[in-house]
Amino acid sequence: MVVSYMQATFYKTTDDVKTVNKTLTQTDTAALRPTHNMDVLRPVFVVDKDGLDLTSNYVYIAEYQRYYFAKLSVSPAKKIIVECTVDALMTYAAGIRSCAACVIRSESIGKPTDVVDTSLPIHQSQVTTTAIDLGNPIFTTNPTHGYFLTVQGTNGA
Amino acid sequence: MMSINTDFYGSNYYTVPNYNNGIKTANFTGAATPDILASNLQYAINAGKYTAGTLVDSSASTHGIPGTLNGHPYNTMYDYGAVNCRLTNADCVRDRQSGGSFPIMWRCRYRNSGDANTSIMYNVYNNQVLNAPGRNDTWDLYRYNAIVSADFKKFAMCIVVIAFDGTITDNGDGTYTGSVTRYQNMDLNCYLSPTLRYDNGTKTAREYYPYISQIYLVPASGSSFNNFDSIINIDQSLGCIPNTLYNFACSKVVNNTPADDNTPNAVITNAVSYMDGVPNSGGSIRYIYYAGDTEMTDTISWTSGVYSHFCIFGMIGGNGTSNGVVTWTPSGSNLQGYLHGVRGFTHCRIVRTDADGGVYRGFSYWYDMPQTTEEIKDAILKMCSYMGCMVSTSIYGMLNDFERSPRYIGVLDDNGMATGNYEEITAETLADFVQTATDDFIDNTPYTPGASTDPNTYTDTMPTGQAPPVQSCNRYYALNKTNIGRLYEGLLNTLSSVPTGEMEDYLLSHFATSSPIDLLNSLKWLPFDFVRYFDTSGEHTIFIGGLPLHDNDGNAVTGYRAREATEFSFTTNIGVFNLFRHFGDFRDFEPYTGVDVYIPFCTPISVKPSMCMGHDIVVQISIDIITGNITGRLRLDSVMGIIIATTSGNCAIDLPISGVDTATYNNAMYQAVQNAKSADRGLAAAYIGAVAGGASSIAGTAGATDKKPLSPAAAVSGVDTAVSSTFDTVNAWQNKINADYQLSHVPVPYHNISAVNSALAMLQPLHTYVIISRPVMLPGYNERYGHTTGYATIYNGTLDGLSGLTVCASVDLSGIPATAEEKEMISAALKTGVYL
Repeated sequence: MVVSYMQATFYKTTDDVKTVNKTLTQTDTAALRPTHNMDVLRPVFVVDKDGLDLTSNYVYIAEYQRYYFAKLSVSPAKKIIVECTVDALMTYAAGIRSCAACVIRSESIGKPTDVVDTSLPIHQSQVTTTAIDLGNPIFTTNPTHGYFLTVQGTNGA
Repeated sequence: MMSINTDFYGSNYYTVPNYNNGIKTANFTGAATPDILASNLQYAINAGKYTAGTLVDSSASTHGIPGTLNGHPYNTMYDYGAVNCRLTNADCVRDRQSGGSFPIMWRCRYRNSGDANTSIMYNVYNNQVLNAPGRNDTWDLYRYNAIVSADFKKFAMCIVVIAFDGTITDNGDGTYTGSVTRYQNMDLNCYLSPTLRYDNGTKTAREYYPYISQIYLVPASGSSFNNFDSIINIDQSLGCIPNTLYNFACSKVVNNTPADDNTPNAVITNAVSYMDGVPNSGGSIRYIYYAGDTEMTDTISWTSGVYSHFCIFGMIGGNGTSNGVVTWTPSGSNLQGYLHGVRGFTHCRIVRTDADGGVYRGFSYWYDMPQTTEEIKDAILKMCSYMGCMVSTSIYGMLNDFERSPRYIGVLDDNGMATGNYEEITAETLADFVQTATDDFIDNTPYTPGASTDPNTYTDTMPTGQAPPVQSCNRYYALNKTNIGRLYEGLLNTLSSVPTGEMEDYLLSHFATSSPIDLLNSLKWLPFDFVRYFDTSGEHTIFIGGLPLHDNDGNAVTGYRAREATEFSFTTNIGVFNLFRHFGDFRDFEPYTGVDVYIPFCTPISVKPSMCMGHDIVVQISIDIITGNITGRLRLDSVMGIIIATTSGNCAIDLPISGVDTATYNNAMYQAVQNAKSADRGLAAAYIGAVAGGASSIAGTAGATDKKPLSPAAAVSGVDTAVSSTFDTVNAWQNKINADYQLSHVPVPYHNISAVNSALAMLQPLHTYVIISRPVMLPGYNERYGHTTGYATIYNGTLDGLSGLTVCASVDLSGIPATAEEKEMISAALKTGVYL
């Protein structure tokens, strides 16, 4: 039986899974032997190689042109099993950056905007209060004619 | 009204919105249209809104379909109980083998295989769409996606539902009469493909399922072809598919008058061929797609430019006619040929199944179409209702002509999601549907985000009113402290000059009352120099009633003078302020920031910061001098600007006015005199009674003694009488004393005109203040917030200019050669936040 292998490059990354462009440190390369599960998004491989760095957590498979989160384990038969889950963010990073989107939160905006942010930690029981004195052009405690008399009377002036 | 076949327009040519989980999330533009259909179908299935078949048997040989094609294994939609598969491989084969006999609109290609053919299908078993449009030459399938993903908001969708109950009647005289009973507008072009039905893994039956292949999207306000263009914003010239493989061009009619009820005999005059998208660039015109709503009896003609395969949308087709005026009139034996020519669209194909399961592919001749059944109709309408739009079996239904065709409306659940159920709209219930309240519910006017659609410009101001020149019997004087003192003096002088015994007559003649104090209506102290609003001509003699105040000599003098009011209210500005941004973000506005304006003597005003920001806020008051009432108001930008808030208060302090109530005094004096006189008479009587009674009693007693000794009782009785009379005398005397005291002490009745008003208001600030309260941030808020949570914003554009945490409400993933599931992953990640 002819077995086709796929070439893979193993990496370590400490970036958050949500990071589109991850920083990768190459750890190894190896040929992967496909298993029964050939779902391109979640393939499982067997590595016929000794000494593979089992601390790798990331892999690039050229034939699939995809980056994967990798979980390496050793089977009872001492085979290294590589369970992969596609990292669509890294794989299509360039495309994502060129996509048009409606962004509702952004770190690079740098500060709150006029868009109401209900997550902003505003104190519920404190406010600061200031007063602006606009002056008083009319009212006085000592008017020259402060008394206003209303009488019934004729025009006898 | 006309019908438009959007099948005509591929998504290569215009923007296609994507509906992800029932929500429009993005637009796809360009050739790399992703698998929109898959997304929408997936939503319906995931939501349990559609029960698809179950994959059990993928062996094509059992279904009469070759199992391989050009060495590529494939599965057909038969195998999957496909819910929306559009094509069969057999169609593709036929299509390819048929040369240039019809446009290759539905030619499909196997992904990555170039020449091989396959179909788009939904694999229920794996819950995924196979052979979805992806890379290489699969663009001609995109238009299918475009159909089912068109922006339905802009259209009243008229699914062309099953048709073709045609009959020919031999009239017996060599003539024939034809009728088409079930369609006005080619009610449905559909594929009815035999599909194996599996129940719990067991093949139970071969059933026919309809597959919508044509959808009319009727521009709801449209009456012309150009209107359609305006709606979907594409150039008609792009409507045909450039195709050099078969060396012919699609054509279309430009600027033609569509056939409708008013112009049933439309004339095609401007057929233009397109080669590679360039008009008149070569190739013969073979296919005319004409958006018409022509009925059987209509006559269609053209004058030039049409080569063959003339097709009126959904209605009339014909072959082999060259240029010139041609008239189709269905009659006699022509009817059969006529109906033969009925190809809803030349690419509309029918798959017929022989008894042994063999398949025939061909044009959609009328006789290929099965009889409509309610079951099929129901299935189709359910499909349509999943799309969340109204459906009619012809455009007449969309025009509210329910006599000619019904209209159905999809039923949504409480979340606004399509349920797959539908209701038939009747003329009676039409009014209940808001979306059908008008026939013209499409707004074709250009839309500029944020722009006002109000054609008016409003520049009106709100000027302050003017006090009316009201006159009364009252007179109003401005007094200072000196005047106030002399006012009382003048009153005394005036009254003291009245001759003795003539007071009452004097008062009545001069004051129309015996109590002149009543003529002093009020005396208030006001905290401002209101005299500036009074007569500037000088002081005038104060008149009370008809009498000027007098001096000590009883002469009216000028000493008791005051300035007299001619205006009783005034308006003035007491401050202007601007509210500036403090945070520079949403916290500068309500409900986070509060603005209150304090106006002396008035209730403070709360005003929204959003109404103040960027404006001059003029604080204005109007004062009624007579009452001291104040109306405060805030105006935008000017003294006559828009009033955004008002308040009220009062600044006057009422002062008591005391005086002699002459009438009461006179009454009291009279009563006291009468009391004194009565007391005098009582005293005299008491004396007389006491002396007479006492003497007689004592005398009687003594006389008895002279004659005989008085009994003790009698003696006592006589003493009692004498003592009693003495007591009466004492009482009468006391009454006399009291009456005299009262006479000499008749209290002068002072009359309070008004109560003393509280002056506490004067202890409040007399300045105007703007009081601003602003939110305080919790201690944990710092610059890391942007990295962990992100700052709220609304930004529409590409992501390449952003960095750090980014959260999207929606995203257009066009151009990314990912699978549908991967795009779901990306979309989900962007919606929850990624680090760019």
